Amino acid sequence: MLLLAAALLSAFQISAGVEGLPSLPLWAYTIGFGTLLVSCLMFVILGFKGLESKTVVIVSTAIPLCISLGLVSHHLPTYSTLYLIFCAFGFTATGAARFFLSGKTASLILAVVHRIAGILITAVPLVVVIK
Amino acid sequence: MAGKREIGMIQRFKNFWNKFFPLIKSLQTGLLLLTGLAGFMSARCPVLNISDLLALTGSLALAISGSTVLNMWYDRDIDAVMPRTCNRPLSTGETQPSEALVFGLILSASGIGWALFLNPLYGLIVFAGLFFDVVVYTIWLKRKTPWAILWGGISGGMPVLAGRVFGIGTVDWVGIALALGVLFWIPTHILTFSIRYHDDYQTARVPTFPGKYGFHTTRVIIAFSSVLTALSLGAASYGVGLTWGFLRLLAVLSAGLFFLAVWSLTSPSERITFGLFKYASLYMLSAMLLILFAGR
Repeated sequence: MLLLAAALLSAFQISAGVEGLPSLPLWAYTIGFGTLLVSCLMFVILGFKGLESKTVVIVSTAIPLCISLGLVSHHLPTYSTLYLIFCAFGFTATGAARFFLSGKTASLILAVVHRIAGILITAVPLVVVIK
Repeated sequence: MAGKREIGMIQRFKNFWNKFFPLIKSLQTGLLLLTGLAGFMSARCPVLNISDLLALTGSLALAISGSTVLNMWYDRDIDAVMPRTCNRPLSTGETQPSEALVFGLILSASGIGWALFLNPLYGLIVFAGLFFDVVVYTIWLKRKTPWAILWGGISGGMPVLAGRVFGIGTVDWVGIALALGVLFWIPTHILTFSIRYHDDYQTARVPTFPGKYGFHTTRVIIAFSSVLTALSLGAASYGVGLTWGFLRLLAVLSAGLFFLAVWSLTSPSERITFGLFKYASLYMLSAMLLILFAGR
């Protein structure tokens, strides 16, 4: 039920929640929520075991990166270019590490990328509210 | 006395229902009916004439159910040898072949007759769908060549085209694109199924793509058909007037379909293949619901 709810909310965000935004946040939110929507559907259909794959780990990194990019480019546009570069680098590094580096290094890079994106997803709305 | 008669009638109805309802494959029939409604609503949303909507629903439901029953009647010998289908009423003898044949003919004739009465062009397309499905696909080609699914796909695209034609009175490019979307979706639907139940189809000696061309080639075809499905439904949705938000949503769902198809190709497994089958069904349902409710 939780996964279906997340999927429906993501679908709503894609179809109506981001209307009227500039290009960069609109597409960042679309890719982020889109990946979340498809991931939730695949969890429901395939179960957790079916998603034991390096590809899944790499693709799912798009969720926090893109949603945080949407938030930054929407509410803190001054930093959008810098953060866009970080997202591109982080996504590439996560992918490369999964295939070419040891498990510990790959996990460390994944943790750093997710941590930074997660902090922004939490902090940016707070900053906006406080402002 | 009157009470006992009523109970008898209810019991007779229950017996009839239990005997014949499984023959219409309610999920498959329901999805095809939904495509027909989506085709109609793509032209007539908001619906101002409820009687048109009800007439379309009734005539299509009868015609689609009729063709399904006739297919099950003809394929009862195949169904009897496959573990997946050997418990169907015709295979077990619960329903006699003659009963199923009569039931299927009555449903088909009623549906086509009603459709022709409503609109000749609409009725012609409904008839074409039934003819391609029962005569061309099931009776003529299914046991001869795996390419029969092409005709299965053409017949599958007829309900949505019929619904659109009933809505606007003519065949237009949007209707063709909707029909093509279903046509290109059918390989994803059927070929994933034939991979999962490959052994069953081999036992029944039904030619399939995996049996003739191998699993890898079949998965490549599935990936290509997923792309074509997305492009066709995307074009049709644009033509129907879906807002950019809903077009983005459809694009996301299409990307998921393509991702699963490629994943099935690069890391083949039974779980991923059947996951693709389920996702493809969910994708078609979602696309039709979007066209049904979100068109301008």
